[in-house]
Amino acid sequence: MKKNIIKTICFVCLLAILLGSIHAVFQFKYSDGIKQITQFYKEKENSIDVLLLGSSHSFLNIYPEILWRDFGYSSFNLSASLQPMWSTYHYLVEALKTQTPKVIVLEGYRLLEQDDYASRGTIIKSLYGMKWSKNKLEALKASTYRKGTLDNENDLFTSAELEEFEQLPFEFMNYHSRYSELNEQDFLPYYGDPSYEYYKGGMVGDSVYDEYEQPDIESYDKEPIPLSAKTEEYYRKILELGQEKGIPVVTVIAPFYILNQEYRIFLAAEQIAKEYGQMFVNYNELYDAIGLDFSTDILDAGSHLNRCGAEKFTHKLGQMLQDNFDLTDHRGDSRYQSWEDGAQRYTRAYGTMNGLTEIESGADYVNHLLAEGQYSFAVILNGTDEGVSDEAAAQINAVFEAMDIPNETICDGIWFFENGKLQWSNTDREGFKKAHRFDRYHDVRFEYGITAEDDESAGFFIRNDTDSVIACENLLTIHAYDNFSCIHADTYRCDADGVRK
Amino acid sequence: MLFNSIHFLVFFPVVLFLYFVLPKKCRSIVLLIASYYFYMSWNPTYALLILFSTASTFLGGILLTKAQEKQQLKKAKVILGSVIAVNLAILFTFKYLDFAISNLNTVLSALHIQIVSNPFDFLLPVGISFYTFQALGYIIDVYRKDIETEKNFLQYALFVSFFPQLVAGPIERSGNLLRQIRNVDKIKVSYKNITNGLVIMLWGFFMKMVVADRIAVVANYAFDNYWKLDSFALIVGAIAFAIQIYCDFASYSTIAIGAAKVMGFELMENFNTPYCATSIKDFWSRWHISLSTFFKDYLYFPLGGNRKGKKRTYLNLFIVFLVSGLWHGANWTFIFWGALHGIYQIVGRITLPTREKLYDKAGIDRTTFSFKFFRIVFTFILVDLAWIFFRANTISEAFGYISRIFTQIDLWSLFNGSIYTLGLNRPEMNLLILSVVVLYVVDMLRYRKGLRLDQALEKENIFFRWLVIFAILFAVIIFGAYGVGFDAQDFIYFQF
Repeated sequence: MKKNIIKTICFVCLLAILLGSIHAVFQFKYSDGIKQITQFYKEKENSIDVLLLGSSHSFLNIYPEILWRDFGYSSFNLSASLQPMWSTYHYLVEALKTQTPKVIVLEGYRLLEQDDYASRGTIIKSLYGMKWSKNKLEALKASTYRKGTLDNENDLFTSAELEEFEQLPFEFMNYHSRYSELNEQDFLPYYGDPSYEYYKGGMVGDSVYDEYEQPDIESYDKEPIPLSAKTEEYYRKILELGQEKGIPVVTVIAPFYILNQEYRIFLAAEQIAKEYGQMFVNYNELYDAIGLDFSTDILDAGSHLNRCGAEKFTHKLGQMLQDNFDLTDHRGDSRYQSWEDGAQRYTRAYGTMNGLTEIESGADYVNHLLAEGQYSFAVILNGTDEGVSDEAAAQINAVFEAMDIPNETICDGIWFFENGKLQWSNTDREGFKKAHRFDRYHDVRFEYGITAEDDESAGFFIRNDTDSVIACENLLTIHAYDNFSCIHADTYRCDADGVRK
Repeated sequence: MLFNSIHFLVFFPVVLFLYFVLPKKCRSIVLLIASYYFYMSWNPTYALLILFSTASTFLGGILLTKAQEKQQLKKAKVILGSVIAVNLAILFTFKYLDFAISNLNTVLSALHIQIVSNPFDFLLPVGISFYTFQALGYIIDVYRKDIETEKNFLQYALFVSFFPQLVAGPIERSGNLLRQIRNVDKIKVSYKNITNGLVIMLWGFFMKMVVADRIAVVANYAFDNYWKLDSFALIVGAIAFAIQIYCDFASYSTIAIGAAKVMGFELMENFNTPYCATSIKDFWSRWHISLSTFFKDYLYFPLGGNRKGKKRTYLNLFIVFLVSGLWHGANWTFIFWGALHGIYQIVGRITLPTREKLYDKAGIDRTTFSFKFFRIVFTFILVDLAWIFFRANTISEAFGYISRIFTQIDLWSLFNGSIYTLGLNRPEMNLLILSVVVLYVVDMLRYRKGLRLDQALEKENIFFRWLVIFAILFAVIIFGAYGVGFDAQDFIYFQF
């Protein structure tokens, strides 16, 4: 009898452990929702001064790294893709359990929300990262509908298929079928990327989408259009909660391709904010003050801001906070080291910050990389077989001098440096393949061959661990990686004319 | 409620808790309430039907026993006959009326007579084919004096509605289940029964959620698109359906047997590695055993069995299988399927002497493994051909399917990876094949060693046992067809 009880207890314990591991592996790990709140829980209590809330217009447009770098503010971007106001409210409730921010910045793009309920994907991204609590249950209920609880189900205003509450609390039912898409992110700590240790919720996008023209706000009709009832209800709840806790709630609208209709809804929202005596800043009225340029600063068709735009906007936002609130500059305070590390990583990861993009000559570029340390880079010469002009030869010789390599005949080849020292080189080319590992999960491969099917000429090309192929067709290519973050920092290219491309 | 649902996963532990904790004499009440709750979760009003069948057979049993005691044998027969007739009439109305009327209309319209419309439009009550037979079996047993008349209505009602096997079998006999219910207060709570019962249930869930629901995708694909598929794909589809219907149906019985075992009941075995049968006759002693034995005892023998000469035997066989086909569903495809099995057996019997002579002449040794293997494969082919009729939407589609198997032969499709284009992508198909291999291993344990999974595991030490249990459990949790991305494939036999 006793033996049986012990066996049963052991079995159940083992089962619980295994179930827990499976949950950890299979759970969703979306970068546009779940990672934000999962990492938020790891922040030290009461260390966040600026709490950033909202939707993708928050995490893509407001960089905590910039708020720290320029102002020393400790902020966290706790937002999720398409997050409706009711989920944002519950996020705020959740955040206030462990944090006492000095300012709450609500990016209010989703004040435009017209639906009463969210789609499954949105619910998952917003809510599955939350820890189980009464708040989570209420958040799930707010986003889903329960059969028989509505008077007029057919009149519901919703564009997404209604999600029933029953399906969602049992999270495992929703993600157990991920077995075919599991990857390293699911198994490794910090998703296989150590930089998540100082992740503050922001997401950087680097592309440029230039199809939008800057909206002419001046000419817009300024008659307010009311918010949808449910969105207004929860917006007020957010403002009231801030009031209750004595924390100012600043509503900001990040720049985007705003339509007249949307502008008018924000005007109505502004009136609500004023009722509570809270600030409301629509940065779409301040394109010039920000210095925003719609031809270079927009990331995608969703009109989020890319790095150029987000840096400008975040900086402006920081200035607004500086001017209106009494926030502490924590730079130099070792308790906020993770913000410092995060800002460092950001700075190093993007070439402009290090001045790499401004360097004109190849030799200077190499010198800079060697001096900075913590870079790995490849110097690639291409197309010297037919001989080079004197101008080009001088340039190349200067580069070799910078690399500190005795110069023999100029020929095509690749030279790879890590942390200031030459690691390997190759001038034989034919069949050349070499990989460089940054860490367990990041590498870069250099190969020699034909890159395009219709291209006769062979050359060096580079394959990042994302498998994207970069052909090195210029005379001189210098491809630099930041060892700190294991990502590509910048590329220098020039041809015989010595002008940087 | 379906076995593979959260509802059941909550229901079952609650029932178990009450069953084990409350005083022993409360057990039948607990189970009865649980069983009616279980049934009513499908459709509350239809509980009245099962109650009616219960009451009519219960009352009938008491009345006819009284009549027999008073030597009023004719009266007893009349009571028996009317109870059977009434219950079959209910079954007919709810299950076959539509079919009967539409066939009648086909005839009438051919004769240019006004067609009849169906006055009733009913949803098929779940399990009606099962519990009706179970109740009728009881009253016939009482008539034959094979079992003592039940005087306790609650106990009898539990026999008819016992929730593990209520909806899709096994069709229990009064001699087995009713007897155990009568002694329910003597059942001891047994750790072994609980753990073994749970293992059996787990295996049932594996069969259903990992194999059946996944392989159904392939079978559905083949049958929905047969008109453009080649021979190889169609053969794979047919085999897939054979496995699907086996796993789907047997899994239900397996879970039922496991659940009953946890509570200390022994239900009859319903499936015994059917595809290892060496003949059609053997197949029917391994497939839906409770139904075939029911028909044997209550239809075949009353018709005369094989005691009235060869021709009458063949006729009896044919009738039994025709009815069996009809029992499965109100469609000509089912009737055809049943008739086909009847013909298989008749032809088999007729040709037996000739075949024996041929084998002798050719010097074929019938005791060898190769011969047995040949018989197993041949039987499977016959069974699978019949399954094509069972599954197809119409008889002509079935013929279309089969003819394409012979006419659309394309050997290249054996090698070009086309198996990964039948509705499941590569990882899913590989997973499916792996799970079928596991199924094969467990069934071979039964076929070769006569051991059910729980019995085989009992012999091994605890580490191995737990390893296997956890492996199957996590296979079900991770790879089971539930939640988002899967439509819960209702157990096929639920329309019966």
